[in-house]
Amino acid sequence: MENLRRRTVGTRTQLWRRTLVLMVVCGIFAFLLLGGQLFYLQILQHHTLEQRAIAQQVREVTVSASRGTVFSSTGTILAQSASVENVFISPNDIYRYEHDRLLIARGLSEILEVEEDMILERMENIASQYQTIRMHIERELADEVRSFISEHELHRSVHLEPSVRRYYPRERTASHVLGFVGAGGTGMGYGVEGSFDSYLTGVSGRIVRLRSARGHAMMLNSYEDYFSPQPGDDLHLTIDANIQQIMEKHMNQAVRDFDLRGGGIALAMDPRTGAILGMVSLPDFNPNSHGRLSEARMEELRAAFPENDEEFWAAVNEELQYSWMNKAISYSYEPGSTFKLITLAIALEEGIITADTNRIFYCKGYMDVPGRVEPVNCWRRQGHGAQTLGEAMQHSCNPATVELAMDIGPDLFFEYLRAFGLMETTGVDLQGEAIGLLWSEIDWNYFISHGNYSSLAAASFGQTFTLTPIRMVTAVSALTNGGYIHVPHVMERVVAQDGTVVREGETVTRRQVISRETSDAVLDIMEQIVSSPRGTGRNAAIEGFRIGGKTGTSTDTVLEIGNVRQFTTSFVSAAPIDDPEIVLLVALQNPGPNATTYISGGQMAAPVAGAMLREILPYLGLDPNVNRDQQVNVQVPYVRRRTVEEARAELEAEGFRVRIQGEGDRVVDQMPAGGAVVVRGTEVILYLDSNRPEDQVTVPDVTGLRYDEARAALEARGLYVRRSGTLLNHNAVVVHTQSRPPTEIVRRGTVVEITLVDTTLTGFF
Amino acid sequence: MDEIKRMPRGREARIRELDRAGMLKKAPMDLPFFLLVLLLLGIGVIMVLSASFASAYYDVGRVTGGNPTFYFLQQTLFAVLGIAAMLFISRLPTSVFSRIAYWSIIISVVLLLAVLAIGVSAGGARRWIALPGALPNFQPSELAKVAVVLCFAKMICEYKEKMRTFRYGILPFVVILVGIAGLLFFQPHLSAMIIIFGIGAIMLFLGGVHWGWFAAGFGGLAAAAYVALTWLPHAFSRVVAWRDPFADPLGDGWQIIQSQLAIGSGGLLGLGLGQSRQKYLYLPEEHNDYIFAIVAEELGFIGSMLILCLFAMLIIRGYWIAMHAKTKYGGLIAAGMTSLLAIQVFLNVGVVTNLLPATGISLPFFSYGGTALLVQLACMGVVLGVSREIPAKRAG
Repeated sequence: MENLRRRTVGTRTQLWRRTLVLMVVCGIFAFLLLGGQLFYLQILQHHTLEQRAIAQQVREVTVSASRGTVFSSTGTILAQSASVENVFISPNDIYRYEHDRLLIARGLSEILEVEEDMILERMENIASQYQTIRMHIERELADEVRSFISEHELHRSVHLEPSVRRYYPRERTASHVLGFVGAGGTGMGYGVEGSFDSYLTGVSGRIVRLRSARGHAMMLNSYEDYFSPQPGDDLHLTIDANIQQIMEKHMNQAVRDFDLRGGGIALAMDPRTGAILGMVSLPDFNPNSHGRLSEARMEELRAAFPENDEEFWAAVNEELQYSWMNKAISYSYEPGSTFKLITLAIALEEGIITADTNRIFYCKGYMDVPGRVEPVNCWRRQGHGAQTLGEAMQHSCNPATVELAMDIGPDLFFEYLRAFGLMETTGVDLQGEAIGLLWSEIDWNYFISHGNYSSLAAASFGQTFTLTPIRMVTAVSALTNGGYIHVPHVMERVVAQDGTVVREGETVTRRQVISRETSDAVLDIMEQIVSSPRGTGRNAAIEGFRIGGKTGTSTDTVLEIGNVRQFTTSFVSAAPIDDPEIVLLVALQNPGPNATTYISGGQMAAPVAGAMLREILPYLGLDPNVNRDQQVNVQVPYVRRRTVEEARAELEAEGFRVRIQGEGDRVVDQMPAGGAVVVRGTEVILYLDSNRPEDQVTVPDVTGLRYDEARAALEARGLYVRRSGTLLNHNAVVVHTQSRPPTEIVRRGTVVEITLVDTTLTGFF
Repeated sequence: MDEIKRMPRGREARIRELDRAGMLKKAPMDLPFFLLVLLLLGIGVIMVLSASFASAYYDVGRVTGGNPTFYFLQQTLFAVLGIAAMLFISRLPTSVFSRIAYWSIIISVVLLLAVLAIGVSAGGARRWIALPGALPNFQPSELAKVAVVLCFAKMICEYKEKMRTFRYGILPFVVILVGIAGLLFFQPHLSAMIIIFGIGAIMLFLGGVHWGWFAAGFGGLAAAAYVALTWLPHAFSRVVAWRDPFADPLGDGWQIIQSQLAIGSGGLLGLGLGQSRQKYLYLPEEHNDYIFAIVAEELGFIGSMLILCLFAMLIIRGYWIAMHAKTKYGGLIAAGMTSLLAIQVFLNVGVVTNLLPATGISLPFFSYGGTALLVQLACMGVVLGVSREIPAKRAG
C-alpha cells in the first residue's frame, strides 16, 4: 500500500531527487576530481613538469671560447686559434618530423664533400640528437650549409655550432713543447697544450633560446639568453723561437750526417733561472696534422709491410707515438762520461781534492775495484799515465774518476745523487716527465754491501743507470750557477685577454748543492776540456768564445736491436764560461752504419753542440772576444769603383792576397763579392775592365780531406772557403761537412763553408 | 463570405496565441545561467585566439593561409550565430521540443546512415557531412546526442509508471541507444558512443529506472570494456599510453606528455595570457580538444580552477532550473542538456589532465569547432527556454 503510494505520488518527487543527485555528482564531485588532478599537476608536479617542458622548449648552443695564443719569448706566435664551425645532424628530429633523409644526405654531401652513405648511416641512429657530419669548416662553407637549411626548412634536423680550430704557424717548431689539441678542442696531455690547458681553454659560452617544436623562434616569447664565452689566457713561453730553430736545424743535420736511427735530443736552459730556452726531440711531428705521418714515410712503411695491413698500421701507430714523445723529459738515457762532472764536483765540494791540487792520478789503463772480479777499464787501454786533475778530466779518464769516487765513498756519493735532484722529478711544467732509472736506496745498499764497490765505480762515470735529459741539465746547471738546483720551466707568464698577468713563471730554487768555489772550479775544468788541444771536447771549440763542456758515450739498452750495441753520444756544455747563460745538452741516439764519423761524444755530439753555440751565443748578444788580426774568417771589403791602389791597400790590410785582371785605373768588379766571409789570406781577384765571370762550376767532394787539401781543391774550381769547426791543425783534422754538397752546380765565386773535425777522438768517453 | 467570417476568428485565435506568447515573454529567462554561458563563451573565444595563434601562423593544417587570427575569427562568427540561436530557441515553448522529439531521433538516424554512405572522411574516420558553400562540415553525432535527450524525455513522460518495467523502462531505450551506437561504431566515433551511452544512462536514471538495472548496465559495460581492450589493439594502446605515457614518448604518449607539461608549467599563477610555450607546435590539438591544457598553462591553477568553477556553477544552475521546471518534460530536458554539458566538460578535462584515457571530446564553449559550438549554445537555449516557464514567485 505504501509502495503504491510512493510510486503514484513520487514520479515528480523522484525526478526532483534524482536531479538533485546529478547536481551533486556532476556539479560538485566531478569538479572536485578534476580540481584534485589539476592541483596535483600544477602545484605538486609543477617543478618537475616545468623543468621537463623547458628542457624541450629551450635550444642550448655551446659557444666554444677561443683558446689562448702561445707565444715564444720573442713574441713569435707558436699556436693560435681561429673560429670555425661544426656541422651536425639530429637523426631523432629527422625521424620525428619525417624530414627527407635523402635530400639532407645528398645536400650535405655535396656541400661538405663527405660520403653520402656515411650521413645516411648516422641517420640510422634515431635516438641521437647529435651526429657530427664535419668538423672545422670555414665561414664560406658554413654559409652554404645555412642557406641549405633555410631553403629546405631543416632548422630542426641540421645544425651548425661554432667551434675553434688550432693552428701552429711554425709547423714543427717546438712541437713537443707545444703538444697538440684533440678533436674536442682540449689539450691532449702532450706539451703545454696539455699542462696549461686550464688557462688556455677559457670558459665556453652558451646561447639559450626558446624554440617551437619545429625550431622557429617563438613569436611572443622572444626570450634569448647569451652567456658569452670567456676567451682563454695567452701563454708566453721561455722558449726562444730563434734558439729553438737553430737547435732544430743542427739536430736535423746531425740526424742526416750521422744516420741517427733513434733521433736525438737537444735541451738548452738558462742556468741562472731554470728557464728552458729550447727543447728538441727528434723525430718530431707537425702539430697541425699530428695524426698523420708524412706521405713519403707512409709509402716506405707500406712497402715494408706489403701484405699485412695490421702490422702496417701497428708500425704507423708506433712511429706516431714515438714521434709524439718529448724525449727531453720522457726518455731516460745513460749519461756516460758527462756524469764525471758530478763526481768531480762532489770530490771538490767535500774537500777530497782541491782545484789546485798537486795530486797525480796515474792511469794504467785499468783499475781494480773491491768486489769486482774484472778490473774497471779505461777507454784508453794503454792508459793515460800520470795526470793532473785537469788532465785526467780532459782525458775523460775512467780510473781517475773511480779513484775520486772511492775517496768520496758510497754513502756520501748516494747523498749527493739525491741532493743533485737525480732521485726525483725536476718539476718541469710540462706533462709526462719520466722518473728515470736510478737505484733506490735499498738497491744501492745492496750493491755496496760486503765491500762491493762495483756499482759506485760504474756510477762515477755515468754507467749502469739512466736519467732524463732534463734532470741531467738541471744538475749540470747547478754545477755552473753556484750550486743551485732550479725548477726548470717553460712558462714565462700567463696573460689574460685584458692584459692582466694571471701567473708568472718564476725561479724556484730547491736547494744549493755545492758552493760557488766548487762551481767555479768545475767550470774551469769544463773549459779546459774544450780549449785544451788534448781535451776530449775540443771539437766543440768556437772562435772567440770561452765555452766549457764534457763528452759522453754510452750504450742504449732500450734501442738495442738484437745483440747489436746501440750508442748514445752526448755533449753537455755551458757558455760563456765566466758566467754561463746557457747550458746545452746534445744527445744523439743510435747512429747507424752510414754515420760519417767515428761514434763518440767528442766526434759526434761535441761538433753539433759547438755549431749550435756558434750561432746562439752571438744571438744572445755576447761579443766574440777575438783579435781581428787572428780571426780565421774575415769579411771581404767592398772595393768596387775604387782605384786599384786604394783597393789593394785595403784588402792587404785585412790579410787578403790580391790578383788583378785586365787593365784600367778603377775596380769594375771583384771576386769574392764584398761582404762575403772567407778565410783569412784568400786571394781576391779585382777586375779592371770587365765584370767578373758568371760561369757555373761543380762543387767537389772535399769531406775527409785535410784543411789545406780541401781549400786547394775548392779554390781550383773558383770557389772560396769559409772555415768552421775545430781550430786545430794537424793531420787528423779533416773536413767533416761542406755547406754545398758535392756535385752541386753553383756560380763561380760561391763561398763553401767547411766544418773541420779532429778525428783522433776515437774512444768510448 | 465564409472565408471572410473565418478570418477574424483565425485572427482572434492568433491574437490569443500572441497574448500567450506575450505572457511568456514577460517571464524572464534565468539570468545567472545566461550570464554564465556568455562569460564562459567569451573566455573560450579569447582562449581560442591565444591557443591557435601559433599553429595558425605556421599553418600546420594548411588551412589558415598563415593568418594567425583565422581560427579566432571563425569561432567568433559561430559564437555570434550561436548566441542568436540560443536566444531564439529560448523563446520557444518547451512543448515544441516535445513535438519534434521523435522526429529528431529519426532524422539523426537517417543522417548517421547518410554519413556512412556519403560522409566525408578525415583522420581515418567518416564522421562528417559536407555542406554546400563556405559552411563547415556538419557532424550528425552532435545532433544525435541532443535527440537522445529530447526523445528519451518524451518517452519517459509517456511511459510514466511503466518505466519501472523492463518492457517499457529498458527495452525501447536500449534498442535506440544500441542502434545509434552501432552506427557510430562504423564511423568509428568512440567518444560520441561514450557520450551517447552516458547521456542515455542519465536520462534513464532521471526516468526512474530501478537501481538494479544500472548495476547490471555497469557490469555489462565493464565486460564490454574488457573485451574491447583485449580484442582491439588500438584501444589497448590508449590505455597503456594513459597509464604510462613515457613508454612511448614520441608516439602514443606524446600528446599526453605534452599536455601534462603544459598544465604543469602553468603552476599557481600561470605564464600569463598569450604566453604559453607549449602551443608552439609541441601540443597537438592545442586549440581543439586540448585547449584546456593551454588555458591551464597560461592562467595557472587559479585561472583554470576559476573556469572549472564557472562550469560547475553553470551546471548546478542548470540542474536548479530542471528542479524548478513547470512541467516534467521541461525538467527532464533541462536536466538532460545540463548533463550533456557536464559529461563533456568532465570527460574533456579528465582526458587533458590524464585522469582518463584519451578520447577526442571537445570542451564546450572553448574548443574550436563551428557546428559543435552552435549545437552547444542551442542546448543552452533549451535550458533557458525551460527557465522561462518557471512560474515566477510573484510578490503577494
